[in-house]
Amino acid sequence: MVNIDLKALDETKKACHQELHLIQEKYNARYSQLIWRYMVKEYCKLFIFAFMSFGAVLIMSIMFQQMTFVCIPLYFVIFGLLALLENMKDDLYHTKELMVTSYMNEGRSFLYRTIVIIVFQMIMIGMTFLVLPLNSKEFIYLLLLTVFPLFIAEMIALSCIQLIRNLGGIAVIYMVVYGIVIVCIHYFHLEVIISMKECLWVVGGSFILYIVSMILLYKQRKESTVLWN
Amino acid sequence: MELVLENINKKYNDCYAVKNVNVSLKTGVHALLGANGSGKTTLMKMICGILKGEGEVHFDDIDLKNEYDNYASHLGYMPQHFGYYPHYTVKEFLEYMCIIKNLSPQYSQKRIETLVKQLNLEDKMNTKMKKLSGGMLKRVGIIQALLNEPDILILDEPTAGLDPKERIIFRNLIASLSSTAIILLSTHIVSDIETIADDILIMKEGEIIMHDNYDELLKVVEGKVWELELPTQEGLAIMAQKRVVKSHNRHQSIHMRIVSDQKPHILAQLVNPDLDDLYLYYFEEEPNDETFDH
Ligand SMILES: Nc1ncnc2c1ncn2[C@@H]1O[C@H](COP(=O)(O)OP(=O)(O)OP(=O)(O)O)[C@@H](O)[C@H]1O
Ligand SMILES: [Mg+2]
Repeated sequence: MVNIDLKALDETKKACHQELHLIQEKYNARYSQLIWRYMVKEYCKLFIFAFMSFGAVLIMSIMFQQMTFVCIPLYFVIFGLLALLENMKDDLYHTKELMVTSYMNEGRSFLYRTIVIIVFQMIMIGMTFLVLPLNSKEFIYLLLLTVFPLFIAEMIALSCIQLIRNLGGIAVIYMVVYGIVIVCIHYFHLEVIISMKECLWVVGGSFILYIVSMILLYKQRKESTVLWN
Repeated sequence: MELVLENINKKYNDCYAVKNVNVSLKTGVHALLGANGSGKTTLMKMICGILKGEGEVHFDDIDLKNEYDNYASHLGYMPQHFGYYPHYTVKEFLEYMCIIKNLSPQYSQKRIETLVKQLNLEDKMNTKMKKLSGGMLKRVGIIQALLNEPDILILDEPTAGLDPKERIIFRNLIASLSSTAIILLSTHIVSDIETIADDILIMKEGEIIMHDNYDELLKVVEGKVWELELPTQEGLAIMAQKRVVKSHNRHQSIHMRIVSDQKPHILAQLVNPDLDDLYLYYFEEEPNDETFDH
């Protein structure tokens, strides 16, 4: 017959609860809390800047109608470039070592940054089309000049980051791809021949492609975080 | 608690930076001592999972490769040189580090306050990172590594650039942690580790050539350290032949401390060795004897 000291058992139990409590206090309770805090810390300034310049661009396009198709695409080109820069921050400022050894690591930080940026881009695009008075031809034209090349160029540039760890190089790739897409659209007069339905398909397709390639890149990075093997 | 490294190897273009390292580290302070380029940083990066290489690392039952998230939650790492966003203030930087370490806001705030107080950085909290001096930056690096109360603390040259007062504060801080964490620190400043290290790992060309406590290590050079005072001319000749730890010019003579297997001069006196002597014994080749034969 084993003699169990019930008092000691109870004390152990209390100590365990205390330890659990300490650990629960130490870490973020939810994922959303982590993402939210990370986003505010990392993107606050970018977002304020983006919103303010967006306001300026919208006012300009409303005042000078003929500028719309220059201003708005230009805004998205620049915004996309800044977003790329965000994704390369660790290389730029050599913060990678600190990032890799933290909970966030390369994989998660890439994923969160991409999610935040894409959600933000969607909001901006949504607002553009809500605020600007456009007929259906203009609507198609603007979609083809902004969303479509943005997704394609970002997707290609982000895929190249692992190979070319150089901000200048990535920026050039991004601009060149964006430029090529826009030239192609004009060369084939896509904005004239395409119908609204087809246009939405094209944009939706490029969006899905973008998401899938981001997920693949995330997986690749996550594996490279457990750097061994 | 135990951190085990098994068969760690790392090659850079056919040249080993870390070679065949097998060590097991228990709670306490372990100092990694070695010349420039002996592979200290490389080994530390491998322990932190930053560099790929051959071999196994595990902390108790947690394997670095398979459970990196769990492993990293026990880890605090201070790189030899670390990057930061230059526009951040010290406070913002530390908060950022807490966020990416997934620490809760209440816990982070308390922890930052305590550590900043301990390392005397309270008045620098609102200074931009890029405006900090080298020593202050080191201290921010140390705080950053301690934020999550790590069980494994890896510090790559933490004391380089600290002034004597800060070095003492750092030593006391490390000593206070030594009973609850596995601390591995690399340094060139021998006096830093004499007092606090439980054991010392000496690294040469990627290999750990010795791993023992301070007293045991010194036994290697016991009976090999000499002090001697000679007239300048004769003294200079001896200095060219032997490994000299220290020398000091007086009026017409030179006082020197020499590490040598044989008695270097008839007047030489045996003295007690210290870590500097040991370091020199391993890392400096004896000058060629034949050139200066009398
Ligand atoms: N990225 C790299 N590519 C090629 N060789 C490298 C690389 N990093 C380090 N090495 C080599 O590996 C060896 C060990 O370097 P390491 O930085 O680990 O030395 P260390 O002991 O930390 O030196 P120090 O005291 O100067 O900090 C050196 O010979 C170095 O030249
Ligand atoms: Mg080093």
